[in-house]
Amino acid sequence: MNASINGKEYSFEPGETILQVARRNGIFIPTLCHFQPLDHKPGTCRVCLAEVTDKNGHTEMMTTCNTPMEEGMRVNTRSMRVRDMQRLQVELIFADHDQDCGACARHGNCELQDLAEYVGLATNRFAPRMPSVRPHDDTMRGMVRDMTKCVRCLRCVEVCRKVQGVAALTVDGTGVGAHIGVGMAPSQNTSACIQCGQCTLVCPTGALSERDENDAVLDYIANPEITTVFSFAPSVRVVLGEEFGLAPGENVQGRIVAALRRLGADIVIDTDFAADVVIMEEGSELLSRIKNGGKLPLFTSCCPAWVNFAEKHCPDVLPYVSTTRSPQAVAGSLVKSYLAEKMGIPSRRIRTISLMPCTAKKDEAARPQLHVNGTPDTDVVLTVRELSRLFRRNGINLAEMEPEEFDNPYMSDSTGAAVIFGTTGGVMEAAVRTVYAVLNHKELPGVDVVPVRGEEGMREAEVNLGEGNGVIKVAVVHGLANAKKLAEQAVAGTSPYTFIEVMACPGGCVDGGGTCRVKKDYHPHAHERREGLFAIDHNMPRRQSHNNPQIIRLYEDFLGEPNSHKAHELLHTHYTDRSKVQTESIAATKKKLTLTDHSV
Amino acid sequence: MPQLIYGVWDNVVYDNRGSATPTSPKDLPLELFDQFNEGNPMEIFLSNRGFLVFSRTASLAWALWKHHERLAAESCGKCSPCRAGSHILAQELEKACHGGEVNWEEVRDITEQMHETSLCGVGRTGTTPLLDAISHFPDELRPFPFHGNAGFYSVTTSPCIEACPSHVNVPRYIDYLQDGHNDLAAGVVLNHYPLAGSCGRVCVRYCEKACRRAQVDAPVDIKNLKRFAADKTIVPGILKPEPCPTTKNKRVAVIGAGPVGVTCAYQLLETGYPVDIYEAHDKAGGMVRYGIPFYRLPKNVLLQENELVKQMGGMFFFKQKLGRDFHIDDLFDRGYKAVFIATGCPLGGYLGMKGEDTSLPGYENGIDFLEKVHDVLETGVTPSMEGDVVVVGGGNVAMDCCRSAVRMTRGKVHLVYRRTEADAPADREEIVEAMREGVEFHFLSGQDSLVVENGKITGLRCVAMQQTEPDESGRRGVTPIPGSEFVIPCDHVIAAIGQKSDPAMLTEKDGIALDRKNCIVVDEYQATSRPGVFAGGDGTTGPRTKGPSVLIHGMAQGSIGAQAIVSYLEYGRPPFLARERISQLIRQADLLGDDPVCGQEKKARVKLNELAPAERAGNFKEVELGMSQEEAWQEAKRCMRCYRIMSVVTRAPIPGFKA
Repeated sequence: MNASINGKEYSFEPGETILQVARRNGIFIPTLCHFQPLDHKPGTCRVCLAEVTDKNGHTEMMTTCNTPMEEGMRVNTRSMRVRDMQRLQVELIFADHDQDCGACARHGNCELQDLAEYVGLATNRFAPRMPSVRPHDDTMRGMVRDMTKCVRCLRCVEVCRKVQGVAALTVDGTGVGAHIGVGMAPSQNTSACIQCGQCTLVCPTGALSERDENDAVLDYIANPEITTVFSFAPSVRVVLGEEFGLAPGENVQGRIVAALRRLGADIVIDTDFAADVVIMEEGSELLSRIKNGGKLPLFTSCCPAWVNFAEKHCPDVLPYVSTTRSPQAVAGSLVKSYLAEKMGIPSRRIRTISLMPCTAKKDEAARPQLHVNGTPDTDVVLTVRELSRLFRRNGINLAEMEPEEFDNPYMSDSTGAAVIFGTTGGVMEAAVRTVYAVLNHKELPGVDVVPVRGEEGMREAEVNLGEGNGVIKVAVVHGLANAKKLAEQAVAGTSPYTFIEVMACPGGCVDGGGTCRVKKDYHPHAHERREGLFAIDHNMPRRQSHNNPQIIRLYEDFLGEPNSHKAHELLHTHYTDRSKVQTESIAATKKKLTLTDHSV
Repeated sequence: MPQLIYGVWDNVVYDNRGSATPTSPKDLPLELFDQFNEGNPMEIFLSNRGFLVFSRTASLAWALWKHHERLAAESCGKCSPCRAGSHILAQELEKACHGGEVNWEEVRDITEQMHETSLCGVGRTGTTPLLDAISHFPDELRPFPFHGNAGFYSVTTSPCIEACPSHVNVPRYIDYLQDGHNDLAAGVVLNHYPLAGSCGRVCVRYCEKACRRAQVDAPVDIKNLKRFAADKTIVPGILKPEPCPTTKNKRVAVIGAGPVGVTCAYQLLETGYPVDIYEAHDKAGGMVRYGIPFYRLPKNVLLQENELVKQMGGMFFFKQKLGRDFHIDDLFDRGYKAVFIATGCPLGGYLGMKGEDTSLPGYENGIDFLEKVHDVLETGVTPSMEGDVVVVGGGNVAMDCCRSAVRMTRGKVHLVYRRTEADAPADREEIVEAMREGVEFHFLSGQDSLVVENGKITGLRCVAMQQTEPDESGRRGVTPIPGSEFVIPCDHVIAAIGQKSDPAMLTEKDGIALDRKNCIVVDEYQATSRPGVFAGGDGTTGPRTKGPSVLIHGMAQGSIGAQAIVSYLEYGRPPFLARERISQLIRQADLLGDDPVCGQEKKARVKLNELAPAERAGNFKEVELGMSQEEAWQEAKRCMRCYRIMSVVTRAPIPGFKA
C-alpha cells in the first residue's frame, strides 16, 4: 500500500500509523505523550500533528501517532500551518506547566524542554493566566509527585498498571486541574503505591521524581563529629557510568570508590558484602524451612518494592516471604553494630549512606523495623540519579576518576555471587551456589546456574541439590504483574515451587526506579547492564558467598552461625499487613463527581 | 414561530439583520426553537452545529461566554488544546462581556486549535459556535448593553446519553473507569438509580445501538463496563449507603418494590423525603427479582441494591398488596401526602386456545413458571422438571422460560413463535444463547390447541404460518397455512405471550383513570388523574410508555415521578424538566445527526468470558462472567467521548437554573 509524506511516496503495511511510517523513513515528527516501548499513545498531547489529505481530497489536521495510514493519503508534516499549530500546542502545554525549570530534577534532561526547542517556542504568553490547582505530594520517602509539572501523558499510569500490576495511579481532576492522583487515598504514601519508581523512568518531565536528599549527605560530610559510611549496591557500578558518558554496563566500581573519597567519605564499604551475608542467612532459612516443614515456597525479600507490594496488596503471602533483611538493611545494621565495634567508633556518630538504583530503598530505610531505639540503621539512601547529581554538584566527573580499591577490612570484600544480586535471577543463582555447597560439602560444579538466567518476565527451573537432596523447583519473576500471579498461587497452596525470587522492576535492580532516565525509552540498556554484572561475577576470584573471607570472619568473630540468635536480631525482620480496603459512602462519592448535568 | 435574526448552521451563514426575505436552515423546523419553558422564548441556541440568534436584543458575546464556561467545566483536561484553551477562552469571553481588551486574533487561533486538534467532542465541537461567530459576525462580539435578566441552560450530551431514557452520562463513567476510579464510575450511575449492577447485566442497551464506535469497529461494551463498576464497588461494599437526612416532613408512599418504585423511592430519599414502600411479595425486587432468571442476574446483586434504599432510610412493608390489604384512600388517611404506584404487570397471560383449561397440570404461564423456579432457587435448590417442554412466545419472557427449562429437564425444550426470527422482540443475544443451549426453535408456527390424554398434556398442536404482504406500515403479518397442522409431543406447555396488570388492585373507588387494558393513565410527569397520585413502569400508559418490561425505561419513569412528586409537594404544580425539554429538541430537530467518524484506529471490542453451553445444564450459574480490571481498562479506551454541548439563552430566567 502506498501513501505520500511531504510529496514523496512510501509504502506501508495495513494498520501502521502515520507516525510509524514517517519514523521508519527518517521523517521527524515531534511527540510528547507517545511512548513506543509500551505501545502507549493516549493522544493527549496533540503535538504530532500533520495535515492529512485523504483520497477524496479532504484535508484535516490529524495526530499522526494514532491515525492509521490509508491508501492514497497525502501527509504534510512541515507546512507553515502544521508548524504554527504545533508551536501553539506546546505553548498551551507550557501554559499550566511549572515555569521554574532551573529548580527541576529534569533540568537539561527533559522531554518537554526538547519539545520547546523542536517547535521553536519563543514566548510563554499564557502562563500568567493559569490557576495553580494541582497537588505537590511529598508524603513519600522515595519519591515526590509534583503535579504542577505534569503534562498528562499518562505514561506513569500505564507503566503502573501494565508492567507492575499495581494500579496505584489514577487520573484526577478535570480541565486545568487534571493530574495524576492516587485513587481514594489521601496521599501517595498511604495509597496503593509501592514506590518502585518505574513511573519516574517513563515520566517525560520532572513531575514524578526521586526525593532528592543530597543536602542531608553534604551536611553529614561537613560535620566533623560524624563518620560517614558510604555503601553502594551491586547494580550501581554498572549503571552510574552512563550518567557521565561511559558505556552502559561498564564497571565503574573503582571510580565510584575514588569519587566518594574525593567527596569526603570517611569509610567506603560494599553493599555486595551485605549481599553475601544475605545469602548465608536466606540460604539457611530456606534449608531450615525445607527441613522443618516451614512455609514454602520461600519468596526472597531483598526487593523493598516487592515487600511493599506483599504488605499492601497481598498480605496473605507475607508468611512465605523470607525474614532475612535486604542487603541494604543488613549493611546498615552491621555498620552500626559490627563495624562500629571493630573500628571503635560510637554508632551514634556513624551515618550510613546507601547508594541504590532504587526509590523504594529510601522507603525501606524508613521502616520502623529497621530502626534501633528510634535511630535508623541506614540514614540516607541516594538513588543513582541523585548520586550523579551529587558528584556534579561537587565538580566530580566520574569519567575522569582514577579507579581505587576498597580498603575496609571488615565490610568490603565480596564475591561474584553478590554482584549478580543486581539482575533478575541473580539472588536465586547466588543462593543455589551456597545452598548446594552447604548440603553437599562441595561446590556446585560449573558455578553458573544458567537455567535461572534470562530476560523473560517469569522463568522456572529445576535445580538438582545433589545426591540424596533431591530436585527442587524454583521460579524467578520480575515485574510485579508477574509476581502477583505467583503470590496468589502460593497463598492458594498450589505453588509447585520451593523457592521464588522476586524483583519488582523488570530486569531487576539494574533497571530499578532510581536508575538513569532515558528520554522516550524504557530500559534501553538492560542487556548491557546485566551482562556487565555477569562479567564481573565471571572474573571474581571467589564466586560463592560462603567463600568470602570477611563473611567467614563475620560469623566467627561476631554472629556465631547463620540464623543464630544474634543474626536473627540484627539481620532478620518482620512484616505487617498494610493492605486496606478503602470504603466510602455513596453520598460522599457523589459529591466528588465532576458532572455538569445533575438533572435526570 | 421564532424569526432567525442571524446565525451560522452547518457552516452556512444566515444574516437576516437587514434582510426583507429572511432565510433559515432548510431542514431545521424553526418552530421547535420557540419557547424553552412556558412563556419563555429561546433567544439564542448554541450547539455543535453552529448558533442561531432569534432576538435583536440578546447578547451573543454573553451566550458564548456562558457556553464556554460550560465547556471549560466539561474539559477533562487530558488533551493540551482543550485543557488550557477552554480555560483561556472562557476568561477572554468574560473580558469581552465586561468591555475588557481582547486579542481576538489570539482567541481565534486558540479556538481553531481546539476545534481542529482536540482529542474529543468537547473541544472539537464545543467551539463551533465561537469559531462561526468570530468568522462571520465579529461585530456581534462587542460588549453589549445587556438587560441582564436572561435565562441560560446548557447540556453536555452524546448519542449514547440521548439514547438512554435515564440520560446516564455514559462517557463520564467510562472515563472514570479508565482513570482508575471505579467508585466514581459507579457514582455516576448511582446518580440516576440504585440498580447499577442489575442494569449492567440485563439492560437492553439503547446506548450501544447509538454508539458511534460502531462506525469504526463495534460499539463500546457499555453495559458490561457499567456492570464492572457496580461489581467492583457496590457488590463488595466499597461504596456504602448511609441514612439520608430527612429534611422534609411530607411522607410519600411507594407501592411496589420493583425497579421503578425503588428508583422513585431512592430519588425521593435523596431529596430528603421520608418514604415507605409497600410490596405484595415478601422481598423487594419485583419482576427483576423473580422474572429474570439467576443465570442472567444473580440475586445477591439485586438484593444489595435494594438494601441501599433500606439503608438510606426507606421503610419496606412486605406482603402488603394494593387492593387486598389497603387502598389508595388508606394511604392518604395514614398521612402520606403523595403516592407513587409502580405495581407493574404481575400477571402472565394464557394462550386462549380453543378448549383451553388453564388448571391442567403441565400448562402454566411464563410469569408463574419463572416465579416458581425463582422461589425454589432462592432456597438453594436447583429445580428440575420431567419430560419435554414447549414454550410459546417470542419475547424475553419466552427466552427466560425456555432457557430456564433447558437447565431443568433432561427432555427436549421447544420454542414456538408465530412470526419470523427477525420479528421476535426478544434480545438477539437471548435467542442466540437459547439456541446454543439446545432449545429447538419453531418460527412461523402458531399454537393451535393442547393435546390431552387422560387429563395429561401429551403435545401441542401447531400450525405453520406464512407471512402476508406488507401493509401500509411495511409490517408483514402472518396467516396460518391451511392443512399444515403438526403436533410437538411434550409434557409441559408454557405460555409466554405477555403480561398484564392485576385488575384487583385498583377499583373505581380509588379515583384513578385506567385504560381499556387496566393500565393506569399517566401524563408526561407520571401523574395520574388523581391529584397526588403518580405512577410509572409496566402497568401504566402515557407518553413515556415504551413497550413492556424495559428496565431502563421504567427506572427513568421512576425518576421523573420522583421529580414530579417533589414539585407537587413543594409547589403544587408539575416540574419543569429542562433536561427532558432539551432532549425533546435534540430528538425533534435531529441535532446530533450522524457525523462520520474518521481517522480512528481499530480496537477490537473485548471478548468476555462466559460459561460454555455445556457447563450450563442442570444449574443456574451466571452465564456472562463480566470483565477483569485489565479488560475494563482496555474496553474503556475505546470510548471516543462524542460529547456535544448545547446551550440555550432564554428571555427570562429558567425555573431551577441560575444563569
